[in-house]
Amino acid sequence: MRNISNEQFNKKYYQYKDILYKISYTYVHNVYDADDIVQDVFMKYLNSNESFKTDDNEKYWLIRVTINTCKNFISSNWKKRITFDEDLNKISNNDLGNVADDKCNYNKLFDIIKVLPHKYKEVIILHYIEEMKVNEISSVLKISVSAVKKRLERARNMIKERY
Amino acid sequence: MKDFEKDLLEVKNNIENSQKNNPDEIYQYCKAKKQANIFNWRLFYRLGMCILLLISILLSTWALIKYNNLPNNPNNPNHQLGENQENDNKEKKLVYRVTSEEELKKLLSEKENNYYLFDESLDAEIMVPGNDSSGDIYKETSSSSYQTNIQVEGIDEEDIVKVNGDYIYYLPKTTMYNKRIENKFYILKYSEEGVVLEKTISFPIDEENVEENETHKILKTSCFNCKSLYATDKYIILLGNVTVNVKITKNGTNNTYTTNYENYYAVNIYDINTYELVSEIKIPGTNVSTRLTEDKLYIINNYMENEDYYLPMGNFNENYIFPKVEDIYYCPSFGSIVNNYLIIYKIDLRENIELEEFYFLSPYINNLYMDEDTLYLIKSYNNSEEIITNTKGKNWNSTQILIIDLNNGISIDGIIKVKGSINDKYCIDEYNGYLRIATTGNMKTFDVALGKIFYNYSSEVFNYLTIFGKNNKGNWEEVGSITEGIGLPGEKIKSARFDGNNVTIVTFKQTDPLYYIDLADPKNPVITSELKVTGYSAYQHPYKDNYIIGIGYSADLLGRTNGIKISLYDKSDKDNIKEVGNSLVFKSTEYSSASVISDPKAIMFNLSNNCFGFSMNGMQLNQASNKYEWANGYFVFNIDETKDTPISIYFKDEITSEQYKYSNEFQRMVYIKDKYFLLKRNEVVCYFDNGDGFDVINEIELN
Repeated sequence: MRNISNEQFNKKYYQYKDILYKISYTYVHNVYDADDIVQDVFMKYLNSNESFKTDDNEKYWLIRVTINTCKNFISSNWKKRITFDEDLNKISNNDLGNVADDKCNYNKLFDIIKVLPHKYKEVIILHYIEEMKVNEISSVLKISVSAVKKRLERARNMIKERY
Repeated sequence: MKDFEKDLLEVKNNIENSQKNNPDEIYQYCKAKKQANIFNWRLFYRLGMCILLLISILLSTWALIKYNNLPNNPNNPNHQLGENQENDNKEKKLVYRVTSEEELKKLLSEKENNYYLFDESLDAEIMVPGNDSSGDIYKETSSSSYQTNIQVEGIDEEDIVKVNGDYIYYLPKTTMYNKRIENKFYILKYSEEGVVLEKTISFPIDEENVEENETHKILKTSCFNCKSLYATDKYIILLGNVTVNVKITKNGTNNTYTTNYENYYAVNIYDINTYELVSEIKIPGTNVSTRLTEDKLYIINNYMENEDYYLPMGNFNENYIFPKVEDIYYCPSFGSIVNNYLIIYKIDLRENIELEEFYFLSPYINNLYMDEDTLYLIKSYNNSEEIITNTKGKNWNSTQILIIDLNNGISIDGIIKVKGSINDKYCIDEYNGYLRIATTGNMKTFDVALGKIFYNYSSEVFNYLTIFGKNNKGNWEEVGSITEGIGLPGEKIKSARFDGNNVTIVTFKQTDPLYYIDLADPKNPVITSELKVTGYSAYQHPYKDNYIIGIGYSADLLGRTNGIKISLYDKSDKDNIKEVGNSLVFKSTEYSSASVISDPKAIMFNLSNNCFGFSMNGMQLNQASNKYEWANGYFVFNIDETKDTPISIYFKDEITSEQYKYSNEFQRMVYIKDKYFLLKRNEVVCYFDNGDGFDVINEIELN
């Protein structure tokens, strides 16, 4: 277990929790699953001995772990069973006309983002949800700046086609 | 900003609030877990029992395999592909590892078979685990410098010329005559004064004295036939075949006996700044093709096993490398192996040069296509027989494609089979996860009598467009197709160009129908329009978003070709594809072949200047000898879709049959910013584009 005190850990938790939660939520579009994933990530953080030269490096590590945890979560069988029930709920909500037009658009966007291939999902989430600049995204994902730009462009095209 | 982008930015404000904020709980849980990590006797007992059980299962499985009772073992005389399907309860795998040397030798001696086994639930197995792959290479569509005319954006292909910054790396094509002409590699630099030859690297034949005695002299000669190159930011990579021969000469005579000792495919890597040779890689077998993407170079070879060397042996910087038997894989579903390996050498050029190899027992691979992180290996079969009755049968050509995922290491993703064969690499394209293939099938019917096959000498031609996609189990399957309507009876596909949601296909026997096929719905591809013209386009090049430049042959009404034709087609209206203005035609008495038709990389395309160029050849009347002899010309064409003849000649340099010499033949043209460089075999001419034509700046000779 990492050699930090409860107080130091709490500080880190509140520092990064929001960022990681937003990323997880955009991946799974479900409050409970997103909370579980964030919890999982912080446990991994506590159980890891990885040392970080700067705060930024630590943040990027946490983001990467969150993305990987989300990916594993999505591909596991348990998740597939739960999604089916939730989709039913969404359909019935729409039928009743309870969902406002704006919310409809954002839900649609969430759904579109959900079906994007992983490498495009990552850049969209980091750029639009976390408002990260291209060179920051390049440090998080460990790919070149031009690769980030290209993925963003393709992802935008994919979203535009389906929106 | 577009609507969806505005909404995208707002998405973060529409995230439901988190329900948990429990850092103390997480901390205490992890702490407690750490303390509880003491020796737990009960846990140890359970763990021990599990391990014992696992060991006993493994031992009994090994014993069964040893006595050849498992249906998965090809050594089993009862094992025949297809027979065991109903009896077999175990899950069939897509890919198997070779388990022993005996099994390897048995697999290599398989005879040619023509049946295929396709299973519904097949699992892929990761062959070579790798690190996370990096992203795509960004490429501008309109560039200030020449780039190779590659098929897929971001995936570079080998060529005889590459431009990198202010440098031109040039490897003129040489062909063998009576004397072997030495390969030379030229490094040229662009400057304000024009073009300068910075360095020449030649590849002389290397001779090594093996033995010299009273009667004989034995010499080992090694010849590097350098065929193509790549240039990255750090390295120049030269590729080609090496032939090593042994020459025995009887002393005092001219009697020489030459025998081939070995052949391999060589990859020589030079530092791009110092021109120092930093790495030498030797790959066994014959090369299928290569691709360079994100500083990773993939070399794909076929290696035919022989009695002495049944394991393919390569060399990396003086160290021999060959596979362990357990690192060799095979797919029974991919057809009979017939003593061939497929070898992939993946050379990582990002930091230090690193090599990863992949070995696969497979039938001989004819062609390949690569897109993003997937490699498609293409195998053509001349006949897949289908017996209809006891007396009649049908037989046609087909293609099998092995799909390899390069995302994380190297793993087999699936196998697909399609009727017919592809005309060239442009007949296959991947888009949005769907693989689209245009093929031409030749069907022969035959009679069966007294156990023998009698072919009728008639055959029918069919053209197919097939679309494959992955189902929700992750397996490749056919999603949609067009099986009729592409081409009149007897017409074959001559060229195809996929462009996202559509494809334009040209078929020909007597006239050229150009078909526009809408691929927006992969399950339902539809031919939406058709254009009939004489002659046909053998190569299609996209121009802006809505046009196609068709380069091919003009023909008379009976379908006999009589020259070179370049046309511009407008495909903005999918229901009405039409030609723009008149074509530009060269009679066959001037030129009868264009380099770009046999080699699409021979075209120079400059979108920002609306021009393109390539060389042409023909037999022209030599006034001096009164015979028809070889002539050569390089043309640069201008495109203006508003004119009556949208394609016009902007520049040309012609060598008549009187002047033609092998050494002054045109090879290519490239451009850097506003200067154009015409590359001949022994000379480079630098031009400046003044807006009205080309002015010569300087010429240099290449020795």
